Amino acid sequence: MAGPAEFSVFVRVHSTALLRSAYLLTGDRLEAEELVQDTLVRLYPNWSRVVAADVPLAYVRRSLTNNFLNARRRRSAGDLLFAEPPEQPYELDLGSRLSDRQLVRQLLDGLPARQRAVLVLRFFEDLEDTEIASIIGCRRGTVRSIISRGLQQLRADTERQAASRPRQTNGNLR
Amino acid sequence: MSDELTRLMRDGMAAEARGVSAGPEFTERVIGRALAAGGPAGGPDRRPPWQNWVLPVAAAALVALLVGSVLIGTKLVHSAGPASKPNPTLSQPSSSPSRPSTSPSNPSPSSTPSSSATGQSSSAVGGPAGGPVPPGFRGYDLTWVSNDLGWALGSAPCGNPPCTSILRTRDGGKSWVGIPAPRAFLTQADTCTSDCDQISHLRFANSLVGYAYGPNAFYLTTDGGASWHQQSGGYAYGLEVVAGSVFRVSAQAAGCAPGCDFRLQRSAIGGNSWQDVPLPAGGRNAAAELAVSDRTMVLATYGNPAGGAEDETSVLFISTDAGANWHRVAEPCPRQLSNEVDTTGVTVAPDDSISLLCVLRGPNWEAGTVTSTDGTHFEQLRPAPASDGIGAVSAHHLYLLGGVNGFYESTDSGQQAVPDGPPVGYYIGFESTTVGRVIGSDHSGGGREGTWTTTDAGKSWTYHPFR
Repeated sequence: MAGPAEFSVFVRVHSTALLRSAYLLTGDRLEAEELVQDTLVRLYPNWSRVVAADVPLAYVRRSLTNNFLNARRRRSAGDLLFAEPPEQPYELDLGSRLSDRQLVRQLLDGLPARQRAVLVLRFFEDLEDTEIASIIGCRRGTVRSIISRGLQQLRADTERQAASRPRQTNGNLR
Repeated sequence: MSDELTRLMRDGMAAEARGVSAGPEFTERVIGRALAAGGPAGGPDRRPPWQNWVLPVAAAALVALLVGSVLIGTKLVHSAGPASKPNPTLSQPSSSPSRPSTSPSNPSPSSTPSSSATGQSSSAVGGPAGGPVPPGFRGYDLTWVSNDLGWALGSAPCGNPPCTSILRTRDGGKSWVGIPAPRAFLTQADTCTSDCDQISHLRFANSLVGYAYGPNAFYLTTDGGASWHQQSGGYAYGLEVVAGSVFRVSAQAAGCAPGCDFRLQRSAIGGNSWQDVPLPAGGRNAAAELAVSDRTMVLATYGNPAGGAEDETSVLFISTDAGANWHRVAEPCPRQLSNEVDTTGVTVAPDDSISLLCVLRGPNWEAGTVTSTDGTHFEQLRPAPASDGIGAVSAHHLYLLGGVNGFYESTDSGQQAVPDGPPVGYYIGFESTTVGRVIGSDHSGGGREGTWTTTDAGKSWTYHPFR
């Protein structure tokens, strides 16, 4: 039976994994908690469907991503998916050395919801193009394009940062 | 370059995500909201792979990032409920300023009557007479000072939160009354978005003196719960009464997890002077819990649950002489091949044996138990169902809560589900070698609406609703 005990165990086991995915999607801790909670509360009435999935966690993650995209879509009707995503305005703090984490965070923060979701599904969830396309609701080529554009943007950011970094010689800054 | 960018993207996301963990407050809130919103419809009965009854430890696959700190949400104490490792990221930053204590004869501003329990005078046996049980009460913690006298900490719907409520029984749980509760939020049930006082557990030392506490609030009653007085600067990560003393788990600051320097303090029952108990060095700093019997005490400290890739093993501090002497035991749950196995729950049975719930790090949440009868050496890992918590009648008579069937019994003759026991359990504790309790629902529901009691060491269980 897919009952409360089963649901409770699932939540306790997987809530951190789900919260991390949600955090990468939303970029905000409280928003991430709301997203995870809303997703699980919505799924619970039909929990038997979740446990019947080959990988219940994947099922919930898919629902989580859809919830995220739906919420963003409601928030901004202008957030559309492009076959060739446009360049995003993107401000980088050139005055300081940024960690990988900061670079990626700034990159994600500059992206529309769907492009952000694609990158999270690929680089955090390790999903294949076809799986991502299925979740996002687009062609596989679009997924590849978004990923390629994301990597290009990241390359540009790292190069800009490297160029702005002061050189150090004999311990003295020039 | 593309590989390097891919690595940078993966590492950057992993690092960004690692800073986020779901704590017990969050998971319990989600579970509570979902259960309150509506039960599951019927459907295919197909168990997912993480619900296997038998533990194929050697075959378990590890996916470290999935395990992470979720394991923190699973622990039970002998006399405590299914409290979870306090989550560092969800803890409140600090306690709010203490309120002045109030006279028991004066309606206390720091106390909220449970439902209509207001204005009740103390009865001859101590404590307020009590009023009706608040409708919709759901229990989260139990405490007993005899087979008959006990209290339940929980929450009931109300129009003016916090809705924390306390019930009392004088007949072993057959009937309950509502009594005043501290005006504090219940971490397992409430959402607190600002700096508010939160409690999570309740312990009574005798019929008059009790403690309601959490990571950022600490209340004392000396009149059986008629009035509650917030203790200045007080908080506790665990509290138990042993051999006439009160022991509480403290740290350098409220809400310090995951960087806590946990320490144990002792006080006289009802006293407000707390003395540090000397412990060996080398504890973990993310979470802690205290489990006790009449003489044996275990302070379990847990490693950093964040990230999943980090070491989550535990360090136990054990006393077999009521807290006079302590020794340190490194993670007793044995590694399986190259896989880390972590303690996620600890219980001390009335026979002074110590049993731990062990969880193999991996996506399937495989579990097992280990037991020690001397406080030093732990027996070989015994496979067990994935569970939320552990309780023990004796060294080789254990109960597990959670999992697909809700309630399991393990004896020397094997392990089995207990179909006539609680379908869902949220608390388990054994007060003696014969008497034990579980918070759960009856077989028609799925909530925390009553207690299951055994008076024959688990041979039979009887359900009584909170009413």
